[in-house]
Amino acid sequence: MLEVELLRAGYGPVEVVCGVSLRVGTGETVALVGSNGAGKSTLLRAVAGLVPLIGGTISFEGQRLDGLPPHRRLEMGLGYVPEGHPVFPFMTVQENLELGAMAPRARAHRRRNLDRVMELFPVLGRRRRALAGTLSGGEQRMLAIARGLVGEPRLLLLDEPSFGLAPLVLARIYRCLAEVGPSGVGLLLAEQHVARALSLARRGYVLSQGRVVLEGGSEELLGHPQVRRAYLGL
Amino acid sequence: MGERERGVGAHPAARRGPPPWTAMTGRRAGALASKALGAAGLALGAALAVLPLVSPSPYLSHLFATFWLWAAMSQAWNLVGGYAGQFSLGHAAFFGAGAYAAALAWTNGLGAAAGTALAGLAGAVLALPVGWLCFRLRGAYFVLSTLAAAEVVRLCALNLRGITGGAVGILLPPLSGGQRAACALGLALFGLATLTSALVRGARLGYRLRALREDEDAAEAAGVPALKSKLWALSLSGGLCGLAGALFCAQTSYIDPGSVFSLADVSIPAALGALLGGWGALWGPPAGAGGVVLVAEAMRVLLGRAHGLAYGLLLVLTVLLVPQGFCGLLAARRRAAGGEAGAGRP
Repeated sequence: MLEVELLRAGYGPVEVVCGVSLRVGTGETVALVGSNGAGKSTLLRAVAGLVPLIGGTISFEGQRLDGLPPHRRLEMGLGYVPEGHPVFPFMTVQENLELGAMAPRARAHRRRNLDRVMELFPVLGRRRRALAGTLSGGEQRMLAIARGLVGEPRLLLLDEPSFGLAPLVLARIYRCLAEVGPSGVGLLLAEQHVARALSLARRGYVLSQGRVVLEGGSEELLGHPQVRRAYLGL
Repeated sequence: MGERERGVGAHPAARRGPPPWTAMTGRRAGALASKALGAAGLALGAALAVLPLVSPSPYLSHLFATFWLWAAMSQAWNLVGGYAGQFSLGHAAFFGAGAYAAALAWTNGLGAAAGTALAGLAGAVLALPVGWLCFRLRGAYFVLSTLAAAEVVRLCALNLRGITGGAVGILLPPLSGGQRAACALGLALFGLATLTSALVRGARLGYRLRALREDEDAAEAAGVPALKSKLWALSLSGGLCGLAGALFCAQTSYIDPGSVFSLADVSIPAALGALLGGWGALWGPPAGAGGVVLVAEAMRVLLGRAHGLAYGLLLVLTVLLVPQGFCGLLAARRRAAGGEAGAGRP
């Protein structure tokens, strides 16, 4: 579904991603792990269209994405949830979700999509009329993911869904993500939390200094001495 | 960001609140009070709208014509500066373009309506290239680029002597019906600007603009076409400013590049009205414009040419003391008093 070939991207003269190739199949959950500064976020931002490419190609469902603005990529079914708390703090939870549900490809099923994410994240339904800025960090993360899902993506790029969350909240979010996978939505998950990400995904890529240093099945990666030493502290 | 922290601060009060039964009566009383307040405001507004139209005093009519004009300008500015959070100091470009379009149309024998329509069109169309260039930049760079854009348009008007008459300006016959007519037209323009603002606010465009204001990257990630949405807002805003320029032209019956493309006399008052009253709110800009017009009048009497100083001070004090403007302050107060957590922030 997503094919990235020798992608190079960065900010001004600084190249952060230096020739990465990766693939995500239809409905597949793939982890992109690596330490801070490895280039995971930049890679996702480039795929989402928020960072210009220096070189390489990105194709989605067989179509090249070169130069398409982010909202056009979303229309093709490529969703993106940025890292941090990317909600609109002075809009209500409902308004945040409505904004995501307005995407042209999903507009016809607005109601159904909204109901579905409220079911997936019941807390959002309960706090529908609250300003998004008043939610807790974990709730804001759920809102951001929910807003990505109501746009009916075929593949959702998730940047660091675990960042800065308490273990309990994190577990909850991952449980929800595990429910998203079987519904046919592909996930490309950039994570520092290597064990978590690999336990959810079937396959993974390990990124270091802008390059893929390892790739393979999750079990294989979790058992790899280099991964165990560098990321799992074993 | 400071704003987010304020939002978080408002939350515990909203969630805990009083027990349900007191909340019910409290909310009902609050709703009644706010309804009464709304009705009183409406009555006052209607009286203020009609009074200068029937009053024999040309000064009062002039003052109100000026007020409606700036209320409309602030309302127009708010579409871009408030809803979308794109702080423009270049709105004089659209105002001036409208004024010149109208003046040239009228001196070349076109009718009042055709000239006015051309003015609106000039503002709306000019907004597209200006926006296309300036929206590439963010923050302070965007502000500076809008300033520069207005300056470029002013220099063009100054130097294309064959068309605009250059620094000599254009003299027009006075408006038939005098200040009272100007006042009625101003009221109509303000109505149009407010209607536009209200419609945009509730429409998909309004959501998109607010999302862009709060977090541009997240908005793009959520599928908001950033440039297109901002261009729509700027073009609507520019069209209204163009109409305002035509009204100004009719009201003063003389324009020159220095007056209609002025930073201090056009761009800043337009922005200041919205900032003072509450950017992003529907009723903020006209309220702020009232303050701006009154201060300008008072300062013209007291300080003469130095009234620009008053604008500067007002701008600084507003940003320091009431960054959300007075309507924003009232809304925050209402929320803190236990109102609905989701109720309208600007």
